[in-house]
Amino acid sequence: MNVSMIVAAFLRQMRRHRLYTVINVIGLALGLATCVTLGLIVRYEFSYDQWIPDADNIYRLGEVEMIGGRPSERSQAPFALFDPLKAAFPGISHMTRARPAAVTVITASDVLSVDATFVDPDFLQTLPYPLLYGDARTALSRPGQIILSEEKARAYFHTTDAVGQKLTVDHDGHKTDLLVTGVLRALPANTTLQPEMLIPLDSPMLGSEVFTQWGMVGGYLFLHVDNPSEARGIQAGMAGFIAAHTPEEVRKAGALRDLRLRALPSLHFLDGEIGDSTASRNAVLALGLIGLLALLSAVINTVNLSTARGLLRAREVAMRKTLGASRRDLVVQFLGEAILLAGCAAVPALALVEVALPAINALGGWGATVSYPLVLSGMLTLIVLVGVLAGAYPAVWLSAYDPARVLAGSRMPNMGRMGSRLRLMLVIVQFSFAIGLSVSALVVLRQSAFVRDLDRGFQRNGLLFTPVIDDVGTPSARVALMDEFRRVRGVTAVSDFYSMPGGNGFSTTDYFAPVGAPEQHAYMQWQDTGRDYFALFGLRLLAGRMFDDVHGEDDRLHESAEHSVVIDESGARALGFVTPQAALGQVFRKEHGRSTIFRVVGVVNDVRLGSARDAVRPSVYFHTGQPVRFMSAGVRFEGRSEREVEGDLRTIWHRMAPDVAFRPLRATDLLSEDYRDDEKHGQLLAMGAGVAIFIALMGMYALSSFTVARRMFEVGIRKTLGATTGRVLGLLMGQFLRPVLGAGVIGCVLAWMAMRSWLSGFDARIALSPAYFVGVVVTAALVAALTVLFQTLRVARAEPARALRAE
Amino acid sequence: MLIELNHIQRLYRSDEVETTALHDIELGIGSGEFVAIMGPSGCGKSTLLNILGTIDRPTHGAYIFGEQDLTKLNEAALAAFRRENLGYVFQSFNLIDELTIEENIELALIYRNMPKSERRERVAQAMDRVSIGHRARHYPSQLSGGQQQRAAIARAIVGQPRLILADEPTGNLDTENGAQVMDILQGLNDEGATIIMVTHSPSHADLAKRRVDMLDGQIVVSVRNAI
Ligand SMILES: Nc1ncnc2c1ncn2[C@@H]1O[C@H](COP(=O)(O)OP(=O)(O)OP(=O)(O)O)[C@@H](O)[C@H]1O
Ligand SMILES: [Mg+2]
Repeated sequence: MNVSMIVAAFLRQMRRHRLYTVINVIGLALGLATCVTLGLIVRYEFSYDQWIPDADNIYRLGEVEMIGGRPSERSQAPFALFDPLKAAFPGISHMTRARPAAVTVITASDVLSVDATFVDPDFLQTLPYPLLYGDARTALSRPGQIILSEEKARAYFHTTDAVGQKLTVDHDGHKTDLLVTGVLRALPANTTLQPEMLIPLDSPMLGSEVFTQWGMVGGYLFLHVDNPSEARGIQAGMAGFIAAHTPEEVRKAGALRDLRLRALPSLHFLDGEIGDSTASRNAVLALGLIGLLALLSAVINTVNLSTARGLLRAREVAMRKTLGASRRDLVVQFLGEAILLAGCAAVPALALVEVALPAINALGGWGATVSYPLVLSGMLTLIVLVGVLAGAYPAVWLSAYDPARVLAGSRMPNMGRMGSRLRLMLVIVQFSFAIGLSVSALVVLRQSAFVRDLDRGFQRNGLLFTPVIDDVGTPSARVALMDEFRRVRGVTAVSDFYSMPGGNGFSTTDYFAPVGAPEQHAYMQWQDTGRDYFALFGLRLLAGRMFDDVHGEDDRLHESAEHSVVIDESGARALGFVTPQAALGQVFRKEHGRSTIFRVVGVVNDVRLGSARDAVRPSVYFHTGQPVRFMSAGVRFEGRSEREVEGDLRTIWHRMAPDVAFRPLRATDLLSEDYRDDEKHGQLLAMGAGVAIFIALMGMYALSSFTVARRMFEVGIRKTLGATTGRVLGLLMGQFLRPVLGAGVIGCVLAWMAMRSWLSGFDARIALSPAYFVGVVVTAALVAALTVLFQTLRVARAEPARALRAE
Repeated sequence: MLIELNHIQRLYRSDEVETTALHDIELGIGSGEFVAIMGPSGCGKSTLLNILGTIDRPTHGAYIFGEQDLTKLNEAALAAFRRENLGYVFQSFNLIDELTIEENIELALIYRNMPKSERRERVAQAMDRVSIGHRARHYPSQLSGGQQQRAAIARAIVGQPRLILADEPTGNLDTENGAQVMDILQGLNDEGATIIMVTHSPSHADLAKRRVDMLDGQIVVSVRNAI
C-alpha cells in the first residue's frame, strides 16, 4: 500500500460518499478554525511583555498590606523605598520609579488630558523599550525633558521625529515647557505598561511628599537584575530589609507587610488577580478549553461517521484481506484516509481563522495575529492528531475482522453493538459540551443584562460628570464654574461631590459608632456633597431633611463640635437604628480620630455607586459649603440631548478654565464598565455554543442517515411483528433524543456548578432559575429532533417487505 | 375458508422496468391447513407470502381473512392485524443483532402491550418448545444457523398466531436441522395453527397437507397430499 493508492482510495470514497465528506470537512474546518483562533488568543494573552528583551530578569515590586486582617498585594509601592533598596541590594543593576499621573497638555489648538508616567533616568535601562528617535542614555537624564509615544508625537507635531520640539505640560498647577528628547517606537499591544509620555520624576510638577511619605503609594517600582538567582537573593532578603528600613508605625499598622518581586511576564494576570485590570487567567483558559472542545466535537463526528460507515465498509475490508492485504496495510489505509480528510479541512479552516480572528480581536480587545509558521506547524500537528484519533478506531477494528465471517454474509456481530455504544457516548460528550456552553452563555448574558438594568438607587440617564475639578482653580473659582453650569438650558441640578459611580473619583471608608453604643461599629463610605447633591443623583428622602443653607451646622467645613449628616437606609441599619425615622436626631462619631459628633438629620435610599459584584456600602453624607480637594462636579439635565448640553458645558469650561482639559464622563458609560466584560464573555460563550451545537447537529444528521439506513432491516422485522409506524418512529427518534437528554443532564450539572460559582461573585445577581436549563435542553432536543426527523420518517414509513429487502 | 385471495396482482415498477411478480392469483386456504408453495426462483413465492403476511400490498385484488378484506385496512390496522394473527419465519432468520435471543422473541409480544411477567412466561415456553432455552441470553451471532432458525420460529409462535408464514425456513439449514424445523412446524399444525410455507425441498413439501406450484407469478397446480 503506497501513498498514491491511499490517495486514490480516498478520492473514490469522497466521490461516493458526498454527504460524509462534506460533513466531515465542514465540521473539522469549523473545529480546527475555532481551536486555532482561540489558541491564538490564548497565546496572545500569555505572551504579555515577552517581547521585551531580558523580560525574565525585570521585576516589579509590589507592596503587601494587611487589609481587614488579610494580606493584600498591590501593584505599586511607596517611593520612600527607592533609595534604601538601591543601597541595600547591590544586585539590582537598574531600577526606576514610575508614577502614572494625568497631566494637561496645552497645544496651540487644544487643551488635553493625557496619562503621563513620571520616571527615573534609568527607566529605559530597566525597561528597555526601543526608541525611534533620541538617545536612551540621556533622554531622561535631566529635568525638563520628555519622551513621547509615536502616536503622541504624530498628534502634536505631525511627525514621528519630534526630538528638539517643545511641549507645554501642566500638572497640579505647574505649567512647564518640556523638551522632547525621544520618541518611543509603537509598543506591541501585549505590553502591560504602555506610557504615552515619559517625564523625569525630578520635576517641580511633582510635590516632594510623594518621595518621602510611607503611607502614600508613589507608583510602580521596576528593577532589573543580571540573573534569576540575584532576584531570589533579593526576595529572600526582603523581610530583613523591611524590618531594618521601614518606620515602626508603618509596620505596626500592617501597611508594609512584605514586598514581592514579580517578573514582568507574570504581571498581566497578576494585575487581574489583584484587581488592577480585568485580565483573568481563568477566562483565558476557559477560551482555550472551548477551542479544544470544539475541535474534539468535530473529531467525534469524524470518528462516529467512520465507525458507522465502517459497517458498510466491512465487506470492502474483508475482500481486501482475502485478496492478500495485511492488517498493517489496512491500518495504514484507514489512517491515511483520515489524515487526508483532516488535511482537506485545514484549507477552509485557515481561511476561517483569517476571517474570524479580527472579529474576535475586536470583540475582546485583543491584538492577536496569525503567525503562519506557528499556525501551520500547529495545524499539521492537529491534522495528524485528528487523523489518528478519527482513523484509529475503524483502522484497528475493521482490519481485525475475520474476513470469512464478514463474507459469509452474516451481519457484523459485536462491532455493531460496540460501535453504537461508543457513538452514543461520544454524542453525549458533544451535546453535554454544547448544552453546558449554551446554558452558561445564556446565564452570563442574562446576568450582564441584569447588571446593565440594575436599579442602583439613582437616576443614571441625563447625568454628566467632570472628574476632579481641583485644577480649575480656587474653591470660589470652582463654585463660579458650577454656577455657570447651572445656567445652561436644560440643566436641573449641579453639585460637587467626592465618589463617582463605577469606582471612579475618590472614596474614603471609615469606622463609625453611635455615641453611647461604641460596640455598634459600622464601616461606612464617606461622601462629601456640595449643594444639590441629592437632586443631582435623584435620591429619595425617607425621613428628615436634606442639607440646606439655613442650617449652618450642616457645613462640615464650619468649625463646630457637631455636624449634621444624612445617612442612607443601610447606614441607619448598620448603626443600629431600627427605622429611618428612628435614626433622626441620633448622634454618632468616628471610631478613631477627632471627636466631632455627627447628628442624623435625614435618611435617603441606598445607592450602589460601586460594582454589582460588591455589597452595597452603607453611606454617610457630609455637606461641604465649598469644594474641598479631589471633588468632582456633576450635572443633571433634562429635555436636551447629551451632545448639546456637553457642548454648552465645554464652552463655559474653556472660558473659565482655559488651561485645564475638559473631560466629560457619562454616568451610563461609567456604569457600563460594570458589565461590559461579562457581556463580552457571554458573547464569546454564545459563539462557542453556536459552533458546538452546529457541529454536533451536523454529526447527528450524518449519523442519522447512516444508522437509520442500517436499521431499515430491523424496522422491517419490527413492522412484520406488528409495530406501527408511530412506534417505530418513536423508537428511532428515541435513539437520537436519549443521548441529547442524557447530555442535557450532564451539561446542566456542569453549567450549574460553573454558573453558581460565577454568580456567587456578584452581590446583585439573577437567580439560577431552572428555566435556563429546561429551556436550553428542550430547545436542543427539538432542534435535534428536527435534524433527524426527515431521515427517520423515511425509514419508519417504509413498507415492511421493502425494508426487509434492504438488507 | 380462513383465507381467500381474489384476483391478486402485484406489479413492481422501477425506472421503466415493470415486473409482474404475481398475475391474478386465486387461492383459498382453510383453517388448520398446512400449505407448501413451490416453484422456480423468481416465480413470486416470496411476494405471495409477503402479501399474505400483509407486509406487502397487492396492486390489484382482494385479500379476505376471515370476514375482513385486508386490502381495505390502513397501515395501523394492518400492524394490529399482524400483531394478533401472524407468525413469520424467514429463510435468513432475520433476528436483530443488537438484541439477545430472548429479547428477539419478546419483540413479538412487546407491541401487544402485554404485562412483562406474562411476556416472560410465554417467551420461556416458546424457547422450550424449540429447545433453545439455554441460549436465551446469547446474541444471534453467537448461535449456529439451526439455533437461529429455531429462535426465529419461537418468535413466530410466541404470540400463538392463527397463521404461520414461513419463507424457506429450511433453506439455510443442513438436513438434520431442517428436519428438526419441519418437526416443529408439523407439531404446530397438529395443534391447530394454519401454516403456509415456501420451500425448494420436495421432501419437506411432502410433509405438508397440500402443495401449491407456481410459475411466472401464477399458480399452476394445487394438490392435496395423500396422508
Ligand atoms: N421490491 C421489488 N422490486 C422490484 N422487483 C421485485 C421486488 N420484489 C420482487 N421483485 C421481482 O418479483 C419477482 C418475484 O420475486 P420473489 O422474491 O417473489 O421470487 P421468489 O419466488 O421468492 O424467488 P426465490 O425462490 O429466489 O426466493 C422477481 O422477478 C423479482 O425480481
Ligand atoms: Mg423468495
